[in-house]
Amino acid sequence: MFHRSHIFISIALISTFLFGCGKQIPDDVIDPSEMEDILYDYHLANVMGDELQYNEYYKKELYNKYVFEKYNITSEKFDSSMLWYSKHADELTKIYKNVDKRFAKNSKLLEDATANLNVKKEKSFSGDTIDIWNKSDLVWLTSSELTNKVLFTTIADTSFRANDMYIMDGDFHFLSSGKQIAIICVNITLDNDSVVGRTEEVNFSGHRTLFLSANVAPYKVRSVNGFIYYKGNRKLSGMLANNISLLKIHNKYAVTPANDTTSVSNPAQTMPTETLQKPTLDSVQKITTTVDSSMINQIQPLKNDPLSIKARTPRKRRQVN
Amino acid sequence: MRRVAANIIIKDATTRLINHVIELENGVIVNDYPLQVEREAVEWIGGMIVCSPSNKIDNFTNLRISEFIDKNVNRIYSGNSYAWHI
Repeated sequence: MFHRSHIFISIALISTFLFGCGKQIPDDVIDPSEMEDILYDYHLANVMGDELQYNEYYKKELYNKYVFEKYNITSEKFDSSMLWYSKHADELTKIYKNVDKRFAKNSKLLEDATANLNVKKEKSFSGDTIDIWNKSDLVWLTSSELTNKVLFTTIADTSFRANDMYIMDGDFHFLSSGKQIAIICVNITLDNDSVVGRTEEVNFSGHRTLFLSANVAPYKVRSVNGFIYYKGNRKLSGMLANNISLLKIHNKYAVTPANDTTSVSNPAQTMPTETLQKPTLDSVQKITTTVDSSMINQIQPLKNDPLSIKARTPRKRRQVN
Repeated sequence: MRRVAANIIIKDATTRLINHVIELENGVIVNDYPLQVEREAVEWIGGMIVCSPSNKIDNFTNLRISEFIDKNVNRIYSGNSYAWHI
């Protein structure tokens, strides 16, 4: 009997010793499986950051920040975890072997994705109209600094003329309710470094169109650029924009303006003439209803305007002697 | 000051505001913003408001609405506009 209990105690002691030798990961160190995911994204972000142009180099920091935000960790926690793993090289080797396998597996997919990004997409329509939107048709914008905007630039070639019109449109879907807006902007940069642009706020889901028509002659168009920018707080899910297009339409009816295009001292001068405005609204919306004088009324100021009633002057208080 | 709201406000040849309020000071438009919350002294008149630099509009009998808008709005909004309700 004594002999059997002795064996049990020995087994218990040996097993305690064996399990005690296994690596116990401290609570403040990231788990190996999560560390593997983080390192995969972290190295991917670093590679993407190294590929950036000089003027976009600030994004490298944002890429790394985005990885930490994605996994809800701080850079300090990541650094301290890496310190622990560097002292336990076998654990780190296992993690990196798995990361390496994942990179090898996904390299083909990444190549395809990169190839798709670099393909310049230009849809041709009849006549001189062309879609110069060269980004993805579908974008998901969130409140994160890295993914809250889409910037686009199209360098002008000989097909860009001074009197072209630009129509940017798309379907915008806010994924959650709450106060949020998106801003869409199209700018034309001219060869004298001037910029002509138009900005519009999108504050509800639906189809939106931004129309930019500016006769910039005698200057030439150097590039067309702009952005879609989502502005919402971090609790909101963001915004989806799809079917985005930026049409460049040649305006054959436009008339070359006089040399001084900046003089607008008299607003009446900017009124459209029959020749100038002919193609604009008809090409956007066809309304067949006719109007006559009985239908149109100028909105006049009110006689008893509630907003103009002056506040009563307070009564003078009698002095009590 | 008068505040009126309508379904469509044609601000200039390229800007159409949906469900917006415009503020008029002595008949001249001084401000516009979306009709999102209830605000004092906003009159809902519905329909369409055309912002025109002209204080007097004539010669528009039997014009299509698009032609009327083309004739009477600025290509680019430049202030000092009067509001016309259709």
